[in-house]
Amino acid sequence: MEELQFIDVGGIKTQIRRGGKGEPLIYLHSGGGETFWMPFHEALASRFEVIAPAHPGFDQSQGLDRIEDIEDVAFHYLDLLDALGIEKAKIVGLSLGGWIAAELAVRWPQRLEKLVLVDSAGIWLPEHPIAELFGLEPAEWRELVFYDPKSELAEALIMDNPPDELFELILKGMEVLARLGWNPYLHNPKLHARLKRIKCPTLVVWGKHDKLIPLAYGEAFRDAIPEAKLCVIEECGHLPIFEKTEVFVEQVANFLSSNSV
Amino acid sequence: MKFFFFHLMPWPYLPEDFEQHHKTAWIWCPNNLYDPQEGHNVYNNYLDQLEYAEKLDFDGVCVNEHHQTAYGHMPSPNIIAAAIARRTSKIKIAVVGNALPLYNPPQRVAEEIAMLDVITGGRIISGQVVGGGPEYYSFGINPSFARERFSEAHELIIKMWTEDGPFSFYGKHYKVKYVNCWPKPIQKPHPPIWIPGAGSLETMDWVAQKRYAYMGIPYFHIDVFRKNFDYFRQATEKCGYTADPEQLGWLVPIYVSETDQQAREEFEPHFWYFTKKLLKGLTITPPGYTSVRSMMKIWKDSQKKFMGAVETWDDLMEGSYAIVGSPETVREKLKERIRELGCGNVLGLFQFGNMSHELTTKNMELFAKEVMPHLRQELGSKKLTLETEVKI
Repeated sequence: MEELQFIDVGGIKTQIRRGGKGEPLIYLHSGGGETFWMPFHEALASRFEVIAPAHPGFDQSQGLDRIEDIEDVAFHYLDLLDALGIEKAKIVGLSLGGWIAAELAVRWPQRLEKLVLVDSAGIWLPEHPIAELFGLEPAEWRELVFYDPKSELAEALIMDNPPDELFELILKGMEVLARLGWNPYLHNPKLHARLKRIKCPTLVVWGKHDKLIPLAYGEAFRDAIPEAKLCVIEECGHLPIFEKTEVFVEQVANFLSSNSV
Repeated sequence: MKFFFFHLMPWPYLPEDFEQHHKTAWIWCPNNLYDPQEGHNVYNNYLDQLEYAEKLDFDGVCVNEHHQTAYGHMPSPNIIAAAIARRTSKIKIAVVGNALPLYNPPQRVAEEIAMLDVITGGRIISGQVVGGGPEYYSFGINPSFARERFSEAHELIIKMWTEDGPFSFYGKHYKVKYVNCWPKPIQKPHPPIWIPGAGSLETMDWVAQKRYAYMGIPYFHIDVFRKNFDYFRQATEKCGYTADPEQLGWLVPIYVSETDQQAREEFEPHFWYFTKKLLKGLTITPPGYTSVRSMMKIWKDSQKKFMGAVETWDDLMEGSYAIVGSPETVREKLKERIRELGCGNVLGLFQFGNMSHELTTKNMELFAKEVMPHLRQELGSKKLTLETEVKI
């Protein structure tokens, strides 16, 4: 089981869930706010010490007032690595979390040991615009992010009428997402050209049927990051962590534990 | 007690089956539904109505700002105010609008309002608004900075009106080395400020603290207005003073006809045009646009107590979403509601939905002759006076 902690990151009270034994693995969550301990965390925790912080403004992490854009979040995570005493990190980031990880990696490539980008935001392909995710009804959300939007899983994860406490968390998370990704929409126009600066082994994981950030982005990340590999997961949408937990965990764990690039 | 004629300038020619094909009249409503030839007549009828309000002895008119929507095609309230300015001589012109966060730099707002104030000899009320949620989509402005940008822009504008320039302004969102307002407003220290709101707690606290006037925006159940106005009055007490009724404005559709039955017959189709076609989408609330605390509150209010949820005529009457009837009925209802709400300004929407020019002017005339004088007498009106001695 995991432990809930609050640590001081450069003056920002930051929520962290951590569990498992082994080399530390930092998981950066998506804008959907998977800041609770979930089955995919638990599965990764059988091989790593999983450290899952909540971004500023998400869940019980403070500090949104000090975040103006994605660069501020990248600096926040530099501070977090320092606070945790991690010199070279293994980082896995999904969607928004992938974008943050990439921003960190292009600025301080020496601080990463390995990087996994999962259905990541952060760049823009004019011929494949990222779909609109703001202002959607729950059913539209499910349609957008799941391969099978009618599944029990989809309906349990994106509820039609969430209880108040959960609704409040969703609203808080969406506010952060808007702050970082309203315009330019879910990307930093300067990031794409900077991806060449990433020095560590990188695995790009993509749900083949991602309707929010289509597979073309996975290919673009692979092409722009030196020696990156792309792993495409079949029958999967934007959220492999939920829709294909086993395949996802296996791919990520194998990549992170192997010695080869 | 003051009576304002509020215009939204809705587009009245949406097709009958509009709502079957379009989710909203905002943001994504295709503009091939707009016809500039018809638009010419629509604008001029609406402007005639605004000018007519002065002849009918209203205290003021209100013009409004919305963008990229059929709900109201008045993207620049300042232009409309300017058009009225030279065609009227007594009436107050409340510009409700100027969605401050949409202007960068916001100096333009200070300049244009000052121009209007000087041209009209001090008849301008400066509404200052955050802008509707949909406008953050339409203008690409980050909604999570809406409140910060609003208060910073507001501070800059007030400084421009009250302090000698040039000075420099260094904010988080606006940094201007040389600020120098030419012209300055004629009203001192500056035109009255109205802040419209849908019940956001921090807005009401802020308005109370600044001693401005709070305009409750329409389309809510009367209970929501009551609750919000009570909250506002408490907020002023917390700031150490008692609210003046003129710090509160109630924005409400009003329709008067010869009899109750006739009023319903004439008004009802336009009401449904408004709720079924135009209103949908106004409530689009981008994330961060309002605090999570307020969002939860407004979301709850809007579930059942919002005009969009009104299905029948009885619902409409029960919630006082609009005041409709014979002169006597409207008099009685308004009197009762105004006393309940304790508001000193009624901002009436006398043109609603796709209501024709003829019905609108008839409505205005009946209201002005049969309702307004009685209410002024009974509710104690100071006749409109300019807040400021202006010598021209």
